[in-house]
Amino acid sequence: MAQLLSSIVSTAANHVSSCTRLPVIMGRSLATSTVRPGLEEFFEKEDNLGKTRIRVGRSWRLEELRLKSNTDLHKLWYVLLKERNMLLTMEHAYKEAYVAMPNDERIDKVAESMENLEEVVKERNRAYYQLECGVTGERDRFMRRDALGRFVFYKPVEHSMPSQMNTGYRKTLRFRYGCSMNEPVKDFLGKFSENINFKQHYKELLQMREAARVVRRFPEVDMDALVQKYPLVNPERLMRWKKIRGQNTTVHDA
Amino acid sequence: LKYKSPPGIEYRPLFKPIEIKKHSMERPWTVAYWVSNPASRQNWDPPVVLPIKAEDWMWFRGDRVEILTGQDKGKQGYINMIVQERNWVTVEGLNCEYETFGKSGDFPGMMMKVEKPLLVYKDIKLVDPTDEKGTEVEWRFTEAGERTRISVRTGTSIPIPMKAQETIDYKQKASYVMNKDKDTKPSVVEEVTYEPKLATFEMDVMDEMGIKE
Repeated sequence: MAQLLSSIVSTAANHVSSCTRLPVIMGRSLATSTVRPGLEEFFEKEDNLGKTRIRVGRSWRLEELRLKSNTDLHKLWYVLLKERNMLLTMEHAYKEAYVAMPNDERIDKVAESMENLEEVVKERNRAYYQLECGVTGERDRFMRRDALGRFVFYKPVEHSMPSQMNTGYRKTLRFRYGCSMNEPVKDFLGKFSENINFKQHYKELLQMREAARVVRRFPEVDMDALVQKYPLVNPERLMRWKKIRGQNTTVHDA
Repeated sequence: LKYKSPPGIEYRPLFKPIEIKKHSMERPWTVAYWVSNPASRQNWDPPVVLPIKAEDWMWFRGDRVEILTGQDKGKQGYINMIVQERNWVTVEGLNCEYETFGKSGDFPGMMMKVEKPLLVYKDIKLVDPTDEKGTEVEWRFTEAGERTRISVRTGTSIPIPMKAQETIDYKQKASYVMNKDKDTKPSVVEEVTYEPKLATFEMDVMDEMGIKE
């Protein structure tokens, strides 16, 4: 397995060196040694290639990244990016060789670290913008009704023309985000909300049924634990429910 | 995978994973874990399990427990495996049954001694370290403010065993050997280098690097 992978690595490197061919000067030929201009960083280190397990620590947490200066975060981003590229390259190499990648959770750890880093940077930028400008500086989202009356997130777009001059775009907006609220639209909205409420009620019912089964089997169950497991359940409504009323009149009627 | 929408711009991208409703003794990183809960059985009723709050769970790997029911009643052993979703615990070498695997045709199969699970609130009692007998245990706070399990009968605290810290990467946190190339030292991680400045991330980095727009 190690030989297969190292052969993949070496063939890739040789391909690279053959691409960067120096111009042949008349009468002389320049010998190109295996020049690898930094591309070996796309692959795992030589001593890690044959291993079935590569031990690596956990991802960076938000609290730890908040302690670091912006320059440190800037540097860390590129370290993580290079590691991510290396891991994705190796994932592909292992797939080609039909071999399981050792510790593929490394990709998730790096991705999580990068997400946390981006979140910290966004927090700092948001703080500055809110202090100086009063807005977060990020792309806003406004709730608007579409033509059918449903609430949709409208994302503002940058234009080269001011909106007073941009009549063509405003006309399309009228159809996209303008709601007339006439009879058919109101009928639709009524039925649409019925549909949404039915789906939500069904989700609650499934949990209520499971919770009722638990209470019937264990009458002295801890309500906090039950609600932790079934968050959509209303404990008072559950206790009054016809499915379990018989067993629990003495314990829970208070 | 329960359902994944086909590739194509005309389909709304949808991915429904299989939910494991009936947990078995299989471990999540095995194939058998997913095979035990096929897509065709997703609508079946899950088993009724007494809900115990996540923070009140008090049984860890390596804990010494006394078995109260079954063939090995009265015997003590150490917890081997935990299935918290079913309130199950397996004690090493106790409460076993003989099972045959792989019987086909003439081959009688391999017989193995397999530990059967025990219910945490009924078949198990944590052992008090002072008198080596099973006790009722509660989560309480010590005078220092630390939350530990304290046996109701004697009042001694039962610390969480070292075996509970074990992961695939290390047996104990203190004995973990850092990867020289990839890991960052704890002292470096905890070092505070941030000085709040009235600038965005980009402005600060540009100042530090001397870039002028």
